[in-house]
Amino acid sequence: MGGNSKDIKGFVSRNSIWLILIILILAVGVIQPKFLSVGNMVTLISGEAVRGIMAFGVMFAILSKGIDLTIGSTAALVAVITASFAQEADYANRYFEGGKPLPAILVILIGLAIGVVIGAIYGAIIAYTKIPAFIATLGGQLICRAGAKMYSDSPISKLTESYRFLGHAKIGPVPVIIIVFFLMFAISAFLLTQTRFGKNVFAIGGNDQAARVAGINVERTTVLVYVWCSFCAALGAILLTGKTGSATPASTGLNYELDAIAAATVGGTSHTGGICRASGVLAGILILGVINNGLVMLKVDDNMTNIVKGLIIVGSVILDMRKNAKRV
Amino acid sequence: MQQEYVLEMIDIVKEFPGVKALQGVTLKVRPGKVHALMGENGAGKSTLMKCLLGIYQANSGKIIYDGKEVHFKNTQEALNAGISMIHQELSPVPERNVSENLWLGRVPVKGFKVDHKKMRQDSLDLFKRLNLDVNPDAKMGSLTVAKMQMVEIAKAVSYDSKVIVMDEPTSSLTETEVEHLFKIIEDLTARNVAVIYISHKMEEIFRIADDVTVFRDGCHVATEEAKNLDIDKLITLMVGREMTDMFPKVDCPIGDVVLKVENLSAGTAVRNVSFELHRGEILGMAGLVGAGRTETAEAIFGMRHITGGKIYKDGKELHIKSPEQAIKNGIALLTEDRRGSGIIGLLSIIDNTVIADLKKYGFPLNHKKMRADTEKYVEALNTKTPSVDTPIKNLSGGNQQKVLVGRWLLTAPDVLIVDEPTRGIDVGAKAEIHSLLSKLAGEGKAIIMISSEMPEVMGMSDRIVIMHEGLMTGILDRNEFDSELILKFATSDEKYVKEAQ
Amino acid sequence: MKMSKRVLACLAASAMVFGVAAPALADDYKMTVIMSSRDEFLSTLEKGATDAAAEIGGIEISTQDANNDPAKVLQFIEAAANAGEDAVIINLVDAETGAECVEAAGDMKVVFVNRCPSDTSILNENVVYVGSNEMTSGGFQGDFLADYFNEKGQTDVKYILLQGTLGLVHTTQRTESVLQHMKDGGLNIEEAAAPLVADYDRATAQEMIAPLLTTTEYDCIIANNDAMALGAVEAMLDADLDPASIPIVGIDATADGIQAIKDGTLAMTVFQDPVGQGMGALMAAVNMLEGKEFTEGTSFSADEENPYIVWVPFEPVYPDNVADYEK
Repeated sequence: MGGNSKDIKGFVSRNSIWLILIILILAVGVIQPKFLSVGNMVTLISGEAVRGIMAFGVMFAILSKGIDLTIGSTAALVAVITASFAQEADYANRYFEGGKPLPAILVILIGLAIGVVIGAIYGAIIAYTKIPAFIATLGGQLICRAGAKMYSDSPISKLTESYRFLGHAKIGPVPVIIIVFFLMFAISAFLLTQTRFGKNVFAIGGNDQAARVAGINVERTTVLVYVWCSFCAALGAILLTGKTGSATPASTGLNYELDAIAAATVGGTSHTGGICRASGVLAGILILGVINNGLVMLKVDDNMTNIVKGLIIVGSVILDMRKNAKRV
Repeated sequence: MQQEYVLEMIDIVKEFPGVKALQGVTLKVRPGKVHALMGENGAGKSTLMKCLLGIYQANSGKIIYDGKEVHFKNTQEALNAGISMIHQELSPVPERNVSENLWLGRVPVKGFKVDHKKMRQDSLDLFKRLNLDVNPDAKMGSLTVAKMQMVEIAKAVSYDSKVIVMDEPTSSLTETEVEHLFKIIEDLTARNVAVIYISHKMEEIFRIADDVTVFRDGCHVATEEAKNLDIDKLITLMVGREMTDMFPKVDCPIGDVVLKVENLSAGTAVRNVSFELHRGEILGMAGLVGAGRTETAEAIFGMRHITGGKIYKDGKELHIKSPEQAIKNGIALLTEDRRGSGIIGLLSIIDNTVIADLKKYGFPLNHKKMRADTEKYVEALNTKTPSVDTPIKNLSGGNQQKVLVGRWLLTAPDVLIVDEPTRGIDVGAKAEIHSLLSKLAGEGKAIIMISSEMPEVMGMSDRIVIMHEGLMTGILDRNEFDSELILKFATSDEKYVKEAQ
Repeated sequence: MKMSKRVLACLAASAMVFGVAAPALADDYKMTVIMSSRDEFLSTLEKGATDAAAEIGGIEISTQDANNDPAKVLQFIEAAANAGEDAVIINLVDAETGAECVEAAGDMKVVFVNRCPSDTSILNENVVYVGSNEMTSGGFQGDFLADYFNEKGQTDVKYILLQGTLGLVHTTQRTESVLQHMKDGGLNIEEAAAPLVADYDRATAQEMIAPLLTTTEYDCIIANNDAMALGAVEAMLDADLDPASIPIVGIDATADGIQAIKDGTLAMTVFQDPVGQGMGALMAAVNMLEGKEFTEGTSFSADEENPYIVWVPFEPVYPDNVADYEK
């Protein structure tokens, strides 16, 4: 059953978010043709890469019916610590006075390891104490931000080029940060659909009781979800410090968790658990990117941009819920 | 002058995208009578009721209520007009007390203040009128399902309902509670209230129904007075073919002991339960609600903390702490609560089938093999679904159950525990599940079947373990099966001892 | 250096917590420093105050971070008043709440530092303000840009403006004064894009300005602080543009800003003296308690019209005098 027209309809309905993205891009492009230039597209994607990678992390948490509010603060903590190890030796204002920068690869590994440890800690708290993820990660948010501020009270900058490679360098005309972004997209999509871990997260988000009965180790999977989230946050931190060339304890990653959650949400990840597509989240990220980038180019006032963003977030969830309700 | 029908639904059509759920059905309900609505799951009974109550809007057709054509836009309108429904799944506000639930949305007020005193008194009066023993001050959540249902019925009565729809009201009641419910229904019909009664349980229908309407696949099949029908006729109408045997139990050779449970205890819910389970055997577990059967199954399956006793499988002692470990040891549990702990509604048939045995599919997951295995079980179990990519929540209860059976068979268990495997499933699918269990036993699997339906447990089991309040009170061989004896054990307080037989 | 100070501060803090510190003398002053938040500049200011207190001796000083919440500022003031302290040094979150702060302080002496209450009539012999005149900071930027373009013989100038958090008095004053001084310098200025509100944050500024760099025409980039100016520098480097090709100006002369001037990526910045403000605020508090002139012991002077305002001067920093500002 189901003719060709039905397949097309289904395809459009499943990918309506990409349609919205294309319409948005065209709309902005018609008013400001420079928006569509290759150079600006590169700017747009590299601008969203950090939050995008964080969205690829948080979508797993949302899929499992949880949430991760620590992302931005974890990023700040990882950012200041890694940056402090990667400052140029001849900079007068070094965090470690008179030291030498550690090899970039080592610094990056340290940063990622810190992310993994942080994620494992609050993942375990969520999994084993059963307190709501919202509360556990809200606590984590405050603690990590305070940790970053305690570690340093001023921005840490003048970072080595080798450390900044991921966030700052270009291979030919393509910024490395964009390559990392799409790589993380591919890995997330792979994790989500091609591994037991992904299937287990779907099951837990869909019905955790049933998942447990089906022999899934719900606790271990939950810990892994937050480890992944936090890993993405740490990677985001390394890219962000690479891109800006500085880590600022008070403001690095500030509110990034909200942007990441918004992107995942606009991308169709359901907060009631069990629904998520990596391609949708990618589209969600790009939609927010078009708004951030495009409205600046259209000389739209900053407050207006936020109003548009807010409307799109709420609107997309309303649409999504109606779509899902229809399927019952 | 009394009209012949209090409610007429004529030529009701309801379409969902891709599905014609009701294809012009008609239902005529006489006042003061119990009208049973029969049909397999998916036949359109619930959809019709939802059209009646304004939850759905019919695409075409007429609803005439009390002589006037009506279109309810929501349940509140229907309720105010005198039509109410007792849903299969009750939705009370568990943290509030009974009287607040009863008068939810229409609390009596004195000025701006809620008149708690009047509310309480009204509740008491109402309960007294209906002869109900419910404490209006108790927290709703602390009541048994039966009591909650009583409150719902009281609520319907308080709206002066002329038509009350009851959807599978007895599915989680004990026998005494069922009796009480029937008394209330008699009471209601005596007051000229019409009851539309949806149930799969034949015995109930023939006990209380005056009229019976049968649906099949969204079409009206027949409306008859109950006295002109018998069980076989009714089943033939529902299924559209002759049902030869509801309990196709085949005797198969009983093999060695697979599972041995010795003095198993789990808190007060399970106390010193001992039994042996053999290859090729179906061991029934009978008892009343709260007898500890489900809890015993959960203890074996690692879902419940064991406080004493031992479990052996193939002679080796097991120390199972989680379902994960139970599955590794070849034990499977089809839980009683299909929606709560069985299906993962949003996920496809494929995902629901393979979820308990994902290890098999390697890294990255072999999607082709997952699909092939699922299709194999869909075919073998005769699961009706548009495709294996359909979300499982779109299937009927019976088909969902088949998918879950497939899930467990995929793990190739030695011991399969099924807890109320046919609850809320229509007759056709029920017989299929029975024959499936019988076949599995024939293949050498050991099966524990928990069931509250006497005919089922007697028709399917090789032996029956009977429990009461956590104690094992009896164990019967097939040749000793007798419903009175089972009931006697099910209410006995004495622990079973071998010599007593 | 920073590291060891931090460690010392931690040790000192724990010593206080555990009551190891020597018992207070009878004529000790107790005071609380309440910071709106702790960024690099404000942390330096805070340190300026606490260091000065340590130098004078006999002052028991504690600091609080209000995390940009005006309600917390009031809470901290009330707590200090209840603890019977002698003075509070307040770095306001919201300039409109000055009167409430004074009221909450009761008998305590009040010094507002860095952010001036919008209603200066609440200042008196017990309530003073120590800070820098923000109209001059933007003024230095404006004068620099006017000179730069006049020298080039260019009068039509398009600028991109990176604004700090809106609603803060100094954001408004910095923006107003830089534009005014450019006009006064004979330039015909035009905005190349809508003002970008980057909240004084480097990453935000970098991200917001990136789409404009290759798609709009502009002659200079004006930022309300160094962090945002440096964000613009990074964005230009990202877009393979040379930051030295146009003037980019900031304010604050942070360590990074100074470095950028040395590197030639930033054209100029304005030194706001955080240590001086912190020290000046503390001295004003002590002087009030001892009944002396507010500015005694400092090189600062009071405003000509309002004697309860103490100005800590701004200083422009260019490549040729940057060496003086290196720490």
